[in-house]
Order: sequence, then C-alpha cells, then structure tokens
Amino acid sequence: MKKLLLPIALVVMTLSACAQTSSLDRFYNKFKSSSEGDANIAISPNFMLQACFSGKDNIKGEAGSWLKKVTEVRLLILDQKKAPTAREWSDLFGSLVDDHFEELFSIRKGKDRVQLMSADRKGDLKELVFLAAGEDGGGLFLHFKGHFTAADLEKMQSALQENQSKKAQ
Amino acid sequence: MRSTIHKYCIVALLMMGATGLQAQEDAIGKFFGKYIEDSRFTVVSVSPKMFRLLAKVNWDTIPADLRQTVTKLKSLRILSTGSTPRQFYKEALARIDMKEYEELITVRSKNEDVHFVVKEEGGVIHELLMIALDESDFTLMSFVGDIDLDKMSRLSSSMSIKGMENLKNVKRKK
Repeated sequence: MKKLLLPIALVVMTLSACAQTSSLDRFYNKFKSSSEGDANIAISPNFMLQACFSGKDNIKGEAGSWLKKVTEVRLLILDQKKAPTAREWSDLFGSLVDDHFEELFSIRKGKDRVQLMSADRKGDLKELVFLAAGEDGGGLFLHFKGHFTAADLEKMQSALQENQSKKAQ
Repeated sequence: MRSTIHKYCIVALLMMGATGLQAQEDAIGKFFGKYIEDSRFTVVSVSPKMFRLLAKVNWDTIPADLRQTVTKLKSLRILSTGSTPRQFYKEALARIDMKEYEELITVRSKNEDVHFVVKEEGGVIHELLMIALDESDFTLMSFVGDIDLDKMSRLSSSMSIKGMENLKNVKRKK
C-alpha cells in the first residue's frame, strides 16, 4: 500500500499542476468580468477557423494563410473605473517571466509602460502578449495564440504593407 | 592528495575568472538594473529575441545595408531622466569601467557633455555606449551586437535620441 502512495501523490500533484491557470488567464478572467464599461473581446479558435474559410475570397492567399494560424485572440481595454492596481499590473509583468514569456521590447516612462512578450510553446505554437499600462491603472491587454513560423511573420509584414499601400492610393 | 588540491585550485581560479568576467559585463547591466523600475527614468529595452525576429522579416522599404546593420544588433537599452541629470551622469561615469572601452567621440560644450565609447574585440565592435548630459536630461544608451559604425552613423540621423546626432561626425571607414 505504501508503495502506491508515492505514485498516487505524484499523479495528483501533476494533475493539480495541469489544472493551474496561467497568470494571463487569471488576469483576463478577473478583469473581463469586472469591466462594465470597458471593451472586452475574445475570439475562439472555432471562430478564427470559420472566418478563414468564409473570408478566403476576400483575403488573398498570403494574408489568409497566416490568419488561419491564429487560434485565439483576447483583448481587454481597461479604463480607470475598474482598472487593475499598479501592484496587479506589476505582478502580471513579473509572472509572465515565470510562464516562460520572453521580452521582445519594453518602454517605460514614469508609470506608463508598454511591453511586448512572446513564448514558444509545444510544436510551433506561439503566444504573443502586448500590455500597455497607464499611470491611472487603465490600459490594454492583447493576447494572441497561433502556430506562427518566421515565414508567417514575413507574410504578416507584407500583408500589412499591402494594406498600407492600398490605403495610400 | 596534492593533485586533488591542485585540481580544486584550478577550479577555484576558473570560477574566479568567470565571476570577474561576469562582473565586467554587468557594470552597465547593474546601472540599468538599479534604475529600471525607477519612475524618474524613461527606459527602453529591445531584446535579442526581437532583433532575431526582425532579422527574419523581409523589409522592402529599408535599404539592404541598413537592414543588415539592424539585424546584426543584439540588444538596445536606453535610460533617460530629467531628474537631477548631472548627479546620474556622474554616477554613470563612476560606475562604468571606462578601461574596458575605447573613446570614440567626446563632445564637451557649455550645455552638453557627450561620450561615445566602444568595446572592440578582434577588430569588431561589440558594444556602442553613449553617455550624454545636457541642460535638462541625462541619457545612457547601449547597443550590443556586431556594430558597423559607418552604418550606425547613418541610422543615428533617423533616431530621435538626444546626443545621438553627434554620431554622424564619426569618421567613415575607408
């Protein structure tokens, strides 16, 4: 019986670790429910897939091919009414490193802060998170998940350039 | 017994050497680290990963030589403050070991003190450091990577960083 205790304990610990949500999920879940006047957008993998199929006539090959690799988008626009405290922002910035996010760039002026981070997950799954926190606590939370490769980044860039040149015309 | 002591001595010396190297590398890192969360400072940091990603993106609008310059960069850190700038300027000069660097440009005028120094190894510039003070601001900027001064001086004109315009005076390689 004693021999079984250790494996059982290990399985329980592993399952409880799997059930833990990431700091991003906790932050998002907390502020999506508390944001009454704030904007809150979540796009599921299913919607992204359907959008890719239904929009394939409008979105030409290049752009469509990377768009269908986006599996999840979450956006929160937080104003100062129910904004996170400076501590909550700071905890989120700190905990992202524990969740294996790497900084791409960051800019801080006084208490205003902008940060772009990315994480490589299993396979080619990548997560990108863009956080902008203002002095008043308000800010922007944008979280992307997708199966991007370096070539996809290039396609995104050219799709954006194409879009810009069309606007200029 | 003697050989065991000998081995320990070698390991200890190697560790001390490694720690020494770490301490040298961290002189600027420590300065940045000290003020990175200080609200009196504006901090900009572009990580090596970002530069690696930029290297993979196909930029049509930027000349190929400038693109190459940017893709060879590994990191960029900028610290700037308008609060007691002279005090921070003096602290930076005292804290950063200038023996590791070679002076490139020094501009000293009534209102301005700008130092551009480089860390060079085997004919390749690995770090370009700017320490600048004017009447209102202190700015410390560090570029790390394989740096081509000629092209960096061209890039400097498009950067809106105080003091950086002085880099255009750098002598072009022949």
